[in-house]
Amino acid sequence: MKTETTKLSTFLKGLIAENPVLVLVLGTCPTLAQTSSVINAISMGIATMIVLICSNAVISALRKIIPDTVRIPCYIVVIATFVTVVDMLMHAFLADLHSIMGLYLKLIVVNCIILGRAEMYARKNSVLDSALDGAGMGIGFLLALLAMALVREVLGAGTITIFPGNPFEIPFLKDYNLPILTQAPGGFLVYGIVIAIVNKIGPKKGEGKRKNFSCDGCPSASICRKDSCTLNTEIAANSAAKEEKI
Amino acid sequence: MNLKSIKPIAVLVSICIVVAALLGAVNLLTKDVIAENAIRKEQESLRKVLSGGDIFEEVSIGEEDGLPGTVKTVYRETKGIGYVVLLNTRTEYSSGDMAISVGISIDGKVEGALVTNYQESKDMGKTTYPEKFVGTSLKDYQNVDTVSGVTYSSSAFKAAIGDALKAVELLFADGSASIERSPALLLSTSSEGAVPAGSSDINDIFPNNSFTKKELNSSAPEHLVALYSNSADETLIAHLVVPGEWVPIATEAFVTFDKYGKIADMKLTQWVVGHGVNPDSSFAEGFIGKYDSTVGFTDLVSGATGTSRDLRNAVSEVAAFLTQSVDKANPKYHFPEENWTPVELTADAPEYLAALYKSTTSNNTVAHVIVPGEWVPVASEAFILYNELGRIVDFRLTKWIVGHGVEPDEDFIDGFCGKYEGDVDYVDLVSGATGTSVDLRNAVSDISDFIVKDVDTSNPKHHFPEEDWTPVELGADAPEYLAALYKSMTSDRTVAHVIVPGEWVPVATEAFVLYNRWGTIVDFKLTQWVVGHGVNPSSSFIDGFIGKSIEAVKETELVTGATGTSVDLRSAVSEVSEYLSPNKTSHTVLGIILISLTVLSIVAVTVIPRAIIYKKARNSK
Repeated sequence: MKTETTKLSTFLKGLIAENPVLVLVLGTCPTLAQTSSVINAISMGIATMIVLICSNAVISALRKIIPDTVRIPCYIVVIATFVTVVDMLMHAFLADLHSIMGLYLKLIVVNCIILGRAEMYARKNSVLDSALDGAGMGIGFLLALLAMALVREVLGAGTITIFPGNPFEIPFLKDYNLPILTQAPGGFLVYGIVIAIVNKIGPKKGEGKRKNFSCDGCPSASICRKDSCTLNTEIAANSAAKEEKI
Repeated sequence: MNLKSIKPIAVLVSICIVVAALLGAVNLLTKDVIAENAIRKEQESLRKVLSGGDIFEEVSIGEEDGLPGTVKTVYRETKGIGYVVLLNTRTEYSSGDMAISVGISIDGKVEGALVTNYQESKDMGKTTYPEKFVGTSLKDYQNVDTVSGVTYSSSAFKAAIGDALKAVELLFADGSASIERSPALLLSTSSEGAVPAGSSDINDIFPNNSFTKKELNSSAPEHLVALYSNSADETLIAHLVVPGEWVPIATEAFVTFDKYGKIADMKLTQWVVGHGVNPDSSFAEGFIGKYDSTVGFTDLVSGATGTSRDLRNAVSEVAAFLTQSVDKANPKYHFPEENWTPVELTADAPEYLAALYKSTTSNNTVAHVIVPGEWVPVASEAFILYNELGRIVDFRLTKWIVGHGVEPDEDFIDGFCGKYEGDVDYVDLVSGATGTSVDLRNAVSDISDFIVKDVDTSNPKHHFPEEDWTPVELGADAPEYLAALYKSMTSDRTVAHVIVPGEWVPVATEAFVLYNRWGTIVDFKLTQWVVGHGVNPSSSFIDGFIGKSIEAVKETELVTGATGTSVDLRSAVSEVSEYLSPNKTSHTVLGIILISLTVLSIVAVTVIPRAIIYKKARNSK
């Protein structure tokens, strides 16, 4: 029997259970690039969250209109539009944050999380649910980035930067820090450790009774042939039912 | 081609159109802010290396200046405290350029230096090493040691500091700006050396002319060095020298005034090289055509506001001085191209019409208007030039309150030009000066009505003066409300004079409608309506007719609250449009033929090849 999901659970699943960065392992590129300081992580997280909410809502609103054959181009147009709008608004009204984010703001267009959620969730659910999913995923993304940035900047540079250009220096750590954590290798290291911690303390995966196979939880749903997948499943289920009868 | 193939394309295109509109709207909202941010950021980055700096203006540099190759841009601080030089350098082992900003004080010493972009992994002390150069000059910057371990990078940086100091030395010798003189002045260079500032000879500036120097009394403006008259064309030439308060040298100019006190020419003969006030800028041209009361509205130069304001004020004082004895109540002062003779005002002349003048060489009229100040302490005074059709050609405000919204350079005054008696009432008022602008507009409206009382307003030329019109005989099937029809003598356009009796209002609604050759409405002039009624010249109902084709006139939106009158007018115009529709039937037939051919072509291209392939496949089986 299919469990009914509440609005709250739709929103909360993006925070831990299906955290896009730490559980679904999506959006790794901006995660590693923008977590060298806290302000970068906050900026990227908020920008991505806004784009996620808006794109999910619009794609959900248009889901019955957009034909299957052109759904990916349509999704990309919508996502790129919202990224451009956020870029222009930040450039005008939050110029400091805009210069901090640099090219990564525009690269939100190709962030797997956004297209992935559009494909996996927004095209099949209502506008409100999709928006809540976008909000949950966005906040989960922001929290994941924040967690990594706090570790990398505090231990790697001995500072915490909340306001652009004004890093708060932490005594002792400012003089004794691990600069490698602010570099790329350190980023991977911290990323791996945080994923391990979340796996340990988060909901268990791969254990317990295997439920009905569904593409919703599969991160590769957007690139595999879903129809074929569903069909095979049905064939397998029908075959199993026939064998039981015999 | 079926619906299944078209739908995806249509959906995708529709989405693209909507998002393009959204992006356009956001761009409109943000582009000005982004541009301002960019300027502010640039100025802030310059202040980082020259503390105390306020506004920086870019100095134009070129190959002829002989600057080092690393120098990209040079800025001068407008208060005169120093300069900022932006450089790009690299070492033979670096993968990218090193961008450096250097601030140099007016006495040639480094005030600050920053590496703004460098990608090398080894840090040469990006903040500490540049600080070592602060206070050094061209003579002693070489004494600063390079950094061991990053020898190439620090050497390149040190060389760039030297290049910046050399650039300032070359451009601004001894910390002062170089002076450029008019080429004509080179002729007057004496054997002892250059001509001192402010003593240019007028005969070098205007050769082959004969000038008489005039005596100046004690009331002459401070910056007026000399005044000359040219007897040949009765012009006056004022020689001005404005001391440099914002720049290190005086600005010198020769301003030519015609015999009516209007500025005919301005020649800058001394300016600072690279400064905004120079002969190539449009600042000097902005004075031409100005007279004493409008010189003060000449646009200043952005980035050279102080110097341009000082020069403008000096020219304004001289203009006022030269015209102090001119009779400014004479229309010839304002419209000197013609001669004017006063006209006796009749008893029904409007209250604020002080005087009326007719041209002796054309049918133009000048009205002298004085509107007492009810909202302000002085009267508003103006001279208005009307053409023979009663249309306002020019408007000279000659008395106003300084700083008040009703001033010569305001859009309110410009808004009168081109108006005729029918639409003067719809000139936009001045926000914050509504009372004064309403009074002036009402006065002009009354005067316009008075002036056209002898003008034949039923002549289409009064409404569409660009062409000449000849009346056309109306056929028996002409619509009831078509009073007259006129054909252009120079194009295929037509004017219809429409009069719709007032069924819902006490007066008839009258209009002149201009059609093109295809029966599309090009212009619509409502010439009689009820004041305060919804159907009036400024309502969107009238604008709604413009561009409408014969079929679309019926869809013009009506006026809420004036539905009856607007329905009647729309029906009348629709009937007239249909009456005028040229060869409607032939156009319809032509359209059907074209569409049919297009459909047949598409079918031929898509169906026939498929039929051929299908037939071949069947035959091969």
